Amino acid sequence: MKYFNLLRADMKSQKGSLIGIFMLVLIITASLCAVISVWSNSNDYEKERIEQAGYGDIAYWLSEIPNRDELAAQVEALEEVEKAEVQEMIAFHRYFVQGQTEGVAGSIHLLSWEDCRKNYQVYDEDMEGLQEMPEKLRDGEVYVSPSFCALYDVQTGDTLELLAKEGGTAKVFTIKGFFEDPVAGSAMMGMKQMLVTENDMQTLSGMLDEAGKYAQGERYNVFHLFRVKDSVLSDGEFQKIVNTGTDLAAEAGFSYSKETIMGFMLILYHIFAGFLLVFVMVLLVVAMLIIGHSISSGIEQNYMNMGILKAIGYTQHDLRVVWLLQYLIVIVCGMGIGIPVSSFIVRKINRLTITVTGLFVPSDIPIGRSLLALGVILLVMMAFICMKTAKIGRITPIRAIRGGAEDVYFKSRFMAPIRKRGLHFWLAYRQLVSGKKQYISACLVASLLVFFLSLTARMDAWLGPDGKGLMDSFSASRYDLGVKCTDEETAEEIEEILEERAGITDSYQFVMNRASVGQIEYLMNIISEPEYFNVLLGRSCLYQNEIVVTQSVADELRIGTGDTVAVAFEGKELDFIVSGIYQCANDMGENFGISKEGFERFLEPDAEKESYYTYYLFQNAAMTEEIAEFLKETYGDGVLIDENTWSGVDIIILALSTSMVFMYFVTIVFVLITVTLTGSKILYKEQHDLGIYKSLGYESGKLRLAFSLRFVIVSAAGSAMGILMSAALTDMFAGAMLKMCGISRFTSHLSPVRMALPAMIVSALFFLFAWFAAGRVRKVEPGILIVE
Amino acid sequence: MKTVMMKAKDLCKSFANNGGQNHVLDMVGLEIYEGDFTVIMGSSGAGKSTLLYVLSGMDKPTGGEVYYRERRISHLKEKEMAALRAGEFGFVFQQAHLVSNLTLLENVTVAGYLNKHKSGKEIKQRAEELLTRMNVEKAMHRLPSQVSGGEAQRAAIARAMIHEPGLLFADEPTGALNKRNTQEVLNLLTGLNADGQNILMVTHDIKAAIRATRLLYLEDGKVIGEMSMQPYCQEDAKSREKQVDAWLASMEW
Repeated sequence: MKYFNLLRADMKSQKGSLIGIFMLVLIITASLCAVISVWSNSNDYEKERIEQAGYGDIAYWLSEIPNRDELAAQVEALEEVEKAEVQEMIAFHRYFVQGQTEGVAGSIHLLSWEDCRKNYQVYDEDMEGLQEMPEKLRDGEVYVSPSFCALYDVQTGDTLELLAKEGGTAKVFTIKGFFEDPVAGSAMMGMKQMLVTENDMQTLSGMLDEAGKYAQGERYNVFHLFRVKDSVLSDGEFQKIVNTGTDLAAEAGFSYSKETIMGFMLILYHIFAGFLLVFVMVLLVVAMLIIGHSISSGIEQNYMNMGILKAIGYTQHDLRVVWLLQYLIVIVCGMGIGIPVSSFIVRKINRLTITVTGLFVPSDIPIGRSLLALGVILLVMMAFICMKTAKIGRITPIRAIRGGAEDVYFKSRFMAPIRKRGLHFWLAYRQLVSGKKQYISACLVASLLVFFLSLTARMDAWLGPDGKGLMDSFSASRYDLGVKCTDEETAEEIEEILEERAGITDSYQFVMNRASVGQIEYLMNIISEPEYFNVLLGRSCLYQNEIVVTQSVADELRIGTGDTVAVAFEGKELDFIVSGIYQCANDMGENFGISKEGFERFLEPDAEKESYYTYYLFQNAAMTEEIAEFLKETYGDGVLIDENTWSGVDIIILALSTSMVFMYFVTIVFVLITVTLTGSKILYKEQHDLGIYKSLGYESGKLRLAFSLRFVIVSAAGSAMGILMSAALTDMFAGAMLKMCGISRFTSHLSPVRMALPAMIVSALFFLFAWFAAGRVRKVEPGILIVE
Repeated sequence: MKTVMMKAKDLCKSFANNGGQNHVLDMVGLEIYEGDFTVIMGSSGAGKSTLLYVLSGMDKPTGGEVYYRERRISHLKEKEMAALRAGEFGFVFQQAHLVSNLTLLENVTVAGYLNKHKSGKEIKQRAEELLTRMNVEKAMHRLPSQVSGGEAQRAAIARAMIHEPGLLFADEPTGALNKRNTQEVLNLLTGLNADGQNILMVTHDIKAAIRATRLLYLEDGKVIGEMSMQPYCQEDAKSREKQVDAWLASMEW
C-alpha cells in the first residue's frame, strides 16, 4: 500500500513512455520466442521423425549387390555398431511433372508404401494436419513431399512420369497426396523420396531390367547403421571405423550421416532463425537504450515531486522501488502478451514453410526455454533499471524545490554560429549540440537499425536477384551454363549456338562423384581446369597429386594446406597433397576438388570414361536462361543442361525478402516509439524556449521543421555509424550464419546508392515521426512566458 | 491631434473557474497613440498583464476587437500573427526569457533574422549596436546563464528592438531586477521613447510609471482613469512621482 498510490500516479503520468516500452518488449518477446520455437521445435521434431523413419546414424547407398547379408553381418560384427538395417529402394534419375516440367532437383528415390507406412505420415487434404490412418495407396498412385508444391506447383491428382530409359515409355503415376518426408522432403534438397505400392516397385524394377545398360535409374540397398548406445564417437570417427573395418565404403555409391541429412532438411529454419536472432539482439539493445532514456528524462521531469516526497519521509530506496516496479510491470506484461503473439507467428511460419521444408513442425512455444531466455532478459533489464535510477539518490529536497535544474552551461567543439541562411537548420543544430545527451539514444537506435538493414541489404546484394551469389558459393567453380551431350556432333552444334548467341569466353569439363578422404566419404568435384576452383587459401590443385578441400572438410579431418591425405575411389587408395582451401557449399561444404588428371590416376586404362559436363562462361551471361530454354526445346532428352541454379535458391530469396519486409516493419515501429518517447520529453523540456520563439514571431510550422531537423541530423549521424558498422561487421556476422550451410566465406559489396538507402529510409522515418510528434508545438502559446 | 496606433473595442477576456467564469477584462475600450510611452497601472489582479497580452495578440480575447494601425488583429491566423510579431511588435517580459543555449548576441539576432529585407550581416551589426547601447557589449558572447539578471533583461530589450518594432510591449520589465538594474532598464526604455519608439508597459511600480507620457488605470477589468504627462526628464522625477502618487490615490490604489 505504501507504494501503491505512488506507483499508480507515476504510471499515469508516464503512460505514453510505458506504452511505448510495452510495445518494444512485446515485439522483442514475440520475435525471440518465435526464434527459440522455430529453432528447437524444428530440430527436435526432425530428429524424432527421422528416427521414426528408420534412418540410421549413418546411411550408405549401395547398388544392388549379391552379398548384401554378408556385408550386413560384417558391419554388425563391429563393436561400435549396434545394428545394421537394410532398406530397398529404386532410384530414377529422370522424372517429369504433369508431363512437361522435368524434375530438376536430382534423382528420385522410390520406397514401398507397404514397408514404410508405419514410418511415415501423410498430410490431410488441406495440409492442416497429419492423418492417423492414411488411405491405402493403390497401384499407379504416389505420395510425394509437399515440397513438390513449391518446386513444381503440383496438387493432388496431377501426374508424375518416371522414365526408365531415353526414348522409352514412361510409367505414369497420379499424385494421391503428400507425405511428411524427414529424410529428403525439403525443397532445398536435390534428392527426393516417393512412396509407391509394392506392385509398382516391381513394375519399375522390371522396367529398369528391361532398359539394361541404358537404364536411367538403379536399385539401391540402403544400409542404415546405428551406433551402440552411449557411443561418444563423432559421425566422422564412426564412419572411419566402418570404412576401415568393412567393405561397405568400397561398395557404396554415397553415404550421408543423420546429422548431415538433418542439416539439409533444416537449412532454411537455421538461416531464418540465425538471422532473426541477430535482429532480436539488436532490438534488445535498442529497447535498453530507449528504456534508459525514458528513465533519465522521467526522473528529470519528476525531479520536484521526488524532492517533495523525500521531504515528507520517503527514502531513495522507496522511490527507486516504485520506478523499478512500474517498468517491471510493463516489461512483464509485454513479455506475457508477447508469448501468445509469438505462438501465432510460429504457427504462421510453420504453415507457410510446409511446402518448403516438407515438415509439419509443431507450433507450441517451448515454455521452459522461452521462460529461461526471457528470465535472463528480465534480470538484465532489472539491473539496468536499478543502475539508471541511481540518480534518484542524488535528489535533495531543497534542490528539487528550487527546480532541480542545473545552470545551463555548455561548451562544445561542435558548436557553430547561428546564421540567417538555413536559420532553422542552425537552430536545430544548436539545440542538438547543447542537449547532446538527450539525443544519444536516438542516434544509437538509428545506428543499430541502419546497421541491421545494411547487413540485410548486403546479404541481399550478395544473393542477387536470381541467387547468383549463393549459387557461386555453392558451385565449386564459376560458370554460366553446363551442357552434357551423348555425341560429339551435337556437342559441336550446341557450341556453335552458344558462341553465336552469347559468345563463349571459356569452357572446361566438370563432373561430380563421391570418394573417401581419410576414410570419410565426401562429394568429389572433378574439373579439367583447376584454376576455376574458387580457392580461398593456398592455391588450386594444379598437379595430379593435389586436391583442394573446403574449410569444413579441413576442420573435420584436422588437415591444412601442405598435408598429405589418402583419397580412396572404387577400392583404389592414393596419396594427395592438400594444395589449398576452396569454397563450395555443396553437400553442406562436405566436399573436395580434384583435377581431371588427378582423378584419372584412379582409373584403369580400359575403364569407362567419366561422362563430363562442359561448363561455359559467356560474354553475355544474361542470355543464359534463354539459351537453356532453347536447348531443352530443341534437343529434349538428348542433352542435359546445368543452369547453375538450385531449387532452394528461390525459396531463400523469398525468405530473405520476407525477412526484410518484417524488419522494415519493425524498424518503422521502433523509430516511431523512439521518436515519440524522446521527442515528447524534449518538447516538454523546451516549451519555454518554444514560447520565446513564438513571441519573436516564429511560426509553428518552422519550429516543427527545426525540431524534426534535429532528428534528421541525429539519425544521419547514427546512420553513418550504422553503415560503417555494417561495412566492418557484415561479412563476419553473415559468414558465421552461412557457415551452417557450408559457406565458409562471405564477402559483400554494396553500391553507394544501396548503401545509402537504409540510412535514407531511417532518416526519413525519423523526420516524419518527429514532425508528427512536434504537432504539439502548435499548442504552445507565447502566453507560457506570462507571469501573473 | 495624436494619431491612434492601437485601439481596443469592447474587449473581454474570461477564464473558466470552478465551473463558472472569471471575467478578467470586461468590455475594455482604449486607444494607444503614436509617440507615447503608455503605462497601464492597477491593483494586483486587475487584469493589467491580461490586457497587455490580449492587445499584443499573445492571448486571444473572448470578446471585442483589437485594431493595430486600423488593421483588425484580434482574430488573426497564427501565421499572420507570427508575421505581426516578427515585424511590428516587440516584447519585454518580467523575466528576460532568453533562449538558454544561445548567446546574448544570438538571442538578439535570431529575432532579427526573421526580417526578410535585411541581410544577416546587417542584422548582426544592428544587434551589436543595440547591445552596446544597452551596455552589455562585453557580455554579448556569453550565455544567459553566465550573465546577471540586469544584463539579461537589457539583452531582452535589445532583442525586442532588433526589428525596430512599431510598438514595444513591456510587462513589468523591472519586476525581477534590483534597484540599480531597474534604473538602467528604465533609462533605456525612456531613451528609446525619446527617440520615437512607441511603448506600452504594464507596471505596479511608481518609479517605473513616472517614465510614462500617458497613464491608464485598470480596475476590475475596466479602464477607469487616464492621465497624460510631459516626456520624462531626470530633473523633475520627484515632482512626477508626487503627481502620479496623487493620481493613483484618486483611483483609490
